[in-house]
Amino acid sequence: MPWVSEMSPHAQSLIALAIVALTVGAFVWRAIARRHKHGCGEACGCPSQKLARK
Amino acid sequence: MSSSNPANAPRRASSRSPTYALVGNPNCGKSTLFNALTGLKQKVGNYPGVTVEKKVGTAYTQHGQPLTLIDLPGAYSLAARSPDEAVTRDVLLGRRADTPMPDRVLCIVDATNLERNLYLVHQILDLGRPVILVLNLMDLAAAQGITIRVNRLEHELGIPVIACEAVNGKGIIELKLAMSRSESPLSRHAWEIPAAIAPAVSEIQASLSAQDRKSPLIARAEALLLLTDHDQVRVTGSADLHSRTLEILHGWQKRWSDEGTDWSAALVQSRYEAIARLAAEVVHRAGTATTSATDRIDTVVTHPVWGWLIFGGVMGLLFFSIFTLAQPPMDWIDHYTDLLGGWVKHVMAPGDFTNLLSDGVIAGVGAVVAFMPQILILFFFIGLLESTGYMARAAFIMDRLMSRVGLNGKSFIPLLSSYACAIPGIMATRTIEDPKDRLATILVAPLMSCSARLPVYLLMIAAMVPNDRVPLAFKVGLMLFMYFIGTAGAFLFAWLFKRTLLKGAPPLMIMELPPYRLPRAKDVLLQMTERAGIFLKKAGTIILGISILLWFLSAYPKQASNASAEQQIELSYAGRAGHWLEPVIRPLGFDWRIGIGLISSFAARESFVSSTAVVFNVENFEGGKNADITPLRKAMRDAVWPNGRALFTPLVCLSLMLFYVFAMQCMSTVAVVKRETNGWRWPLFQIGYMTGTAWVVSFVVYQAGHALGF
Repeated sequence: MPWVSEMSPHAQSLIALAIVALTVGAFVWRAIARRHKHGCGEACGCPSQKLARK
Repeated sequence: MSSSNPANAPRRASSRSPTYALVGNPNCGKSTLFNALTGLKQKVGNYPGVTVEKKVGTAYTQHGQPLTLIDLPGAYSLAARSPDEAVTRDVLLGRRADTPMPDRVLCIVDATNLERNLYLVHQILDLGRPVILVLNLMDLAAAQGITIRVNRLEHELGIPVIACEAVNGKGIIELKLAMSRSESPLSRHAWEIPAAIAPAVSEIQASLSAQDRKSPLIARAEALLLLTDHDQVRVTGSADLHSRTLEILHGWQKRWSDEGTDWSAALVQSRYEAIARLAAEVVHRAGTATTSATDRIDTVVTHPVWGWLIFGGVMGLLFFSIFTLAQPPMDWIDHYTDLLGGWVKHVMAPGDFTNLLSDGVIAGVGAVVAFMPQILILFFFIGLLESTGYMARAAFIMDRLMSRVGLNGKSFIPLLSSYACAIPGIMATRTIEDPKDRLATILVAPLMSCSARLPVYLLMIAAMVPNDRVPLAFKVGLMLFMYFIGTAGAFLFAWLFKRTLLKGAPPLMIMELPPYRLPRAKDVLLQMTERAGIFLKKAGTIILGISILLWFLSAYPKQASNASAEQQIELSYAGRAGHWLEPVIRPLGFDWRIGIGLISSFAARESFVSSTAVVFNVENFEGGKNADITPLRKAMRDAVWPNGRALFTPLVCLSLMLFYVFAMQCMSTVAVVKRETNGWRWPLFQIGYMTGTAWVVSFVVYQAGHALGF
């Protein structure tokens, strides 16, 4: 794969930064996507909910 | 009196291959049967929103047609007491949107204890689904002099009843034949419910049908359940009941309460009476009860003295295996991770992308994969101990100790798992019924020294003890001391939480001691590989992402091309963060360079070793857990403060180790705790109390040692 061994530093930086940006995007998406899901609601078995009701 | 007979209900025809739900009490051989029916055709995942395992497999009919099999968590009844049992109940009642209601139910019972197992069967028959009853452990029942009149039971219930020994594969063919039938009969078993309850059942049933769109029989079964269970344990993904249904339910409960009658108990009693009558007809016990082999073994294994000795021996063997047998494959993985990183650097042109792949992706994922041998060995032992029946005895023995700190014996297994990694340990807490006990266990589990702390301890001990001629036992003793401190800390905080934040009734552990059985290699190996796969998938993806981000933070902003590696890291975002952190950690004896290691440890604790190597500019350092740390140790010994004072004194090394014992430095664990407790409140509290304790302990040790002249 000659293109790999001949890749310019500029191109390498662009690819690396794109991967970093994608990773950040993936983390943000995970965080946002989970907010859309329903919580346990009232009378939930989760410990936090049980304690919150006290 | 009113009769509940599901056989009168219309049946649902379906052209597609039916989906079976496999249901049974814990320890009745359900997983063994699932493995025997599906082999390797299993898919393991989670029910969305809860960390309850979802296992789906494919079995085949005698004509080769596929059958979908869902292995539901073990439950003693549909009145759920834990999230596991709640999932079983919700799937069977069709409350979960993510899992279709099964067409048929495969109900497995322990033939040695049929009467108790029939309670769940009885509730399931109310659902009006075709049920196949599997009498497992028939060999053990015969050995105990128990005879079950299978034909009579089949006649009484009106459903296929298959005698089976899942471990030996006996009865599997007959079971597959029964499952292959295109039409499966509905139960004609009827039981009497008190007449006074009938109007309540009818009214709730009508509301469930009208408002919650439940089929009549499911609605009836759910009405009976609501009246006895009160639906206390709910989990994410479970559809909420309509307010009108709840209003009717609460109305009846209030009415009965005002009348001073406990019709819920009467309903349960009525069910028990029906089961007792059935059991009396089909179960015959020969002669007087004799002491079984299990009883004889238990007199030794649960003995107040011998029990502890055996327990200590088993745990010793477990740790010995984790720390010795895992070493060669870990070295092998480390070696090939380094080779792969080197190869990438060799074939690719120098640059950011190359560095990201070798120093970020490969090093990050490699660091996780390197711990797989330890994880596999741990789960192999856990599988072995579970399948033989010893794990229940271990929990029984530990219960007395656990109860002193306010936990019960069921917390033992999660805490044990946390020695390898807190993530599976925290996931294992789902079997603890009491929410406060469960939360207390989750909060203290990361204090058990996980395998990711091991490289840090090794590095610090190597740097702390300058004389290589110091006996190995001293170093081993120091290492074990760190494990002891972590364990003692976990017990201390559990005690504290159970007396303050999570104050509740004294813990009560009710658990069954299953008969001893010979383990089946197939089941143990299958469980081991499944758990390992889950660990890799979950930990690997998060660590991969954080490794990429960490690489960016230490590589940017770019410095001049003639800047040294140390200058680059000092002026990077990570370096700036280290400088920002220094005023906070200086009282512990740490400078900004150690601060970078502490920050990077949030991705994975073991990354402290490689980040320290980069920061202290060790030439030709090749990262990885088991990399030769001699040059790093030398560089650490040479490291000084600006005034020329040595940085890594023995006191600082001890302070740093103690910091790692207590600090919550694992984003993956934080993520799992967040999901397990369904919010950020408890993970943030956990980060706060653990890191706060770490700071205070390190501060006290360092300042006291400093004052004493160390």
